[in-house]
Amino acid sequence: MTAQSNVRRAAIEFSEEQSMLLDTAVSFFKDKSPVAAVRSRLETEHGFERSTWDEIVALGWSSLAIPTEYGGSGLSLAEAATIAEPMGRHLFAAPLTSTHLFVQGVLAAGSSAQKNAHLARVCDGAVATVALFETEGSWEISRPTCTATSVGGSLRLSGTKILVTDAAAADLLLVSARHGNATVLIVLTASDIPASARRRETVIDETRRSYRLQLDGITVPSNRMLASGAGGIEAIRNAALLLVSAEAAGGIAGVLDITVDYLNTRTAFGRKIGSFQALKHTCADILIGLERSRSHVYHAATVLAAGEAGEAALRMAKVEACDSFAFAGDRAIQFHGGFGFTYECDAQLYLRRALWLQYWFGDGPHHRKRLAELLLPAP
Amino acid sequence: MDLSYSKEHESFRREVAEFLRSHAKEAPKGGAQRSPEALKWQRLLIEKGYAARTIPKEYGGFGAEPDILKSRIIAEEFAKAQVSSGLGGQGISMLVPTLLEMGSEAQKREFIAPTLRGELVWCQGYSEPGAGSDLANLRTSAVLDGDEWVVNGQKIWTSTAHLADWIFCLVRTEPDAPKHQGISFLLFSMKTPGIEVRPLIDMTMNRNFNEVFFTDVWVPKQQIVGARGEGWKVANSILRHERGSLADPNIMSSRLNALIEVLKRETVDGRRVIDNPVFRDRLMQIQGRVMAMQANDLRLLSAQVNQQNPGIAAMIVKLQGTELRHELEQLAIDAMGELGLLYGDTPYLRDQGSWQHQYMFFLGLIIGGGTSQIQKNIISERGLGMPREPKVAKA
Repeated sequence: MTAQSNVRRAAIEFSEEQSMLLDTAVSFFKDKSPVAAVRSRLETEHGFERSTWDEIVALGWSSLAIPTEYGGSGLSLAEAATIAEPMGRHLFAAPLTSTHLFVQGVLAAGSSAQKNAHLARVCDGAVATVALFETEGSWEISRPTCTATSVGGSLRLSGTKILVTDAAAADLLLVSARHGNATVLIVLTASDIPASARRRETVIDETRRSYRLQLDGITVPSNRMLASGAGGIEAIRNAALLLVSAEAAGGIAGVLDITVDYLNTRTAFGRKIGSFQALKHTCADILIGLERSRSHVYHAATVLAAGEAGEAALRMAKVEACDSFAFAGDRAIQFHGGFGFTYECDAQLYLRRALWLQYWFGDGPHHRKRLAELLLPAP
Repeated sequence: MDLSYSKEHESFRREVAEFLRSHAKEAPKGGAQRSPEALKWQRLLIEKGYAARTIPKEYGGFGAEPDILKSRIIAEEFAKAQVSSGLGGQGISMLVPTLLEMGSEAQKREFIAPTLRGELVWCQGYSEPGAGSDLANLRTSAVLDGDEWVVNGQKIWTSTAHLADWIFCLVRTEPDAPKHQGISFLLFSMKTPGIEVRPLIDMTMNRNFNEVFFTDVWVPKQQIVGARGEGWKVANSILRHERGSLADPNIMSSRLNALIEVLKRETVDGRRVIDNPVFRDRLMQIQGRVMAMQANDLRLLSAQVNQQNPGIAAMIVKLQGTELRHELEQLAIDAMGELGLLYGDTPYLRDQGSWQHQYMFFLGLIIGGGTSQIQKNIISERGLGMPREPKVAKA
């Protein structure tokens, strides 16, 4: 692939359906997620209210990327990304991304019977998630060390997963493991997991709920193993890169809003501090980063929705949007002065979410290494 | 989010590619703008509708209905084939669109066709020693005397003034009006008595821009575009055209491919630079930015097709494009190691010094047409509603 062919769609725009979806999502998250509500949810067990999840399910958002033959809306991840952007802007937390990732894994790797069984539950409102990450310290998810061993008609699991988002609220989990020499995905239900196997992790983004999962001792029927493993992991990764990028782009817009509000209000040296070029030029840089991120995200969404190979576009989008968000969050704190360093200042909520998104599913150097392999000739 | 090319567009693309295959050898290879082969090539491109495509026939254009996708296909195919897409310059890229928008019928008929054909070359008289970023502060005056303007003053950084036949020039005609409302937009011949052009040497050692001095230059009264005092409005419509034209993502993409070739060719410690992890990481950072420019361009294109206001996405093109190109050129120089310091006539010089030259040249484009710092003022004030810097009280 040459650089010339990396961006080759004729144009990028919102369809009428996406525009309507965007309008609905913007007002929904604005309504559900004022910053006082975000802060009050920091204290709660699951980080979201079941009643809000029910509304999301009723809007059809958790099942929108499920084909109609399995009971969903038959839309694409481009529509899911359209919703993820305003979600990020308002620091909203709910297992929506977790559930989309479960769906993409099952869609890509499940047999027809498995899709029917598991996706129907998502359409009925189940919360779902994926358990992919382990402790080895690279962001590579295609070679898990957790194992699944066939014993009679069952699978016996072993090993430890970390950074399993929304695990305590989840009705369904998709776990990656090694089975013989193959990488496989296995569906677990909440009742398969004893409470003692699940430990809450304190993570950098306080709006996020994340857990460590001890798989040793968990045994499930063999038919929980999805028909083909590796394609499922790739599909989950692609979806994650897109949804994280879109959420980060929204986050940039959100943190830029509160920063510019403050700079246009606060007075020092007899003038609004927003008139100082040291501050306004940086805000222009952040806005440019936002536009770059949106361009990447819309392009990646377009490519992915068209069913084309989008790995390069997705990884590029992830790096741009998350690095720009982290920069914006960092400057937001600095531009609020001493107050910016306090827990009370909302800027920290954005920066800590930005850091989560920046690393989750791989940071800049990780993706650029893979991008170079994808886009450049082999050594 | 997708607007695909139709069958008609795909067949148009084949038509352009076929033209390029059969005629590419007639195209000029860089060099002087006004060589006989460049003028001949320009006439062929207009005749086929690959240049001056949407400009009405009566003004010397091809007269096609505006079809943004077709224009884009032409740009893409010419960039891919690395064939000259015709003459550029400030007359064609800036004055023609402005005359179409603001010029009188007589001005359109007199000036557009010879400009398109490359027979009339223009320079732009904007900046002055005391009016750069603060352009509206310009002092060159034009006073009406009977049926003629009498122009006095000085312009600076005037590219191609030494080659130009005519100038489009901002002058102050209403000295008592507020500064933005006292400016008018004049057209006049560079052969008019009273004009002196003195070359300035830029940091790349080119003699391309100049100082231009006006001493009692008499200009016929009707050679004004727009009304008296409307020159700022006319000028801003031109700046809009200029800012877009400085950062073509198709050219950026070709240059990125050339950069990758450099990294494949150069070695460090006996290994190809392109296999070095640090350079790979830096290259991917730049390639990501190029992809963002390309995708941004598609967003602008979609907005244009749908007649929507692209908003902020349009404002960042000049700033991003020129700075990115500067960085891209630098990575090639870094990859050359010791040889990156060579600039002149030596057998070890790579690619005729084009990377070093472009690296420096793009500094000029970062500054010209509004510096990056001025662009950031505009973006933060118009895009984010941030306050202007307070005016300093007059001493």
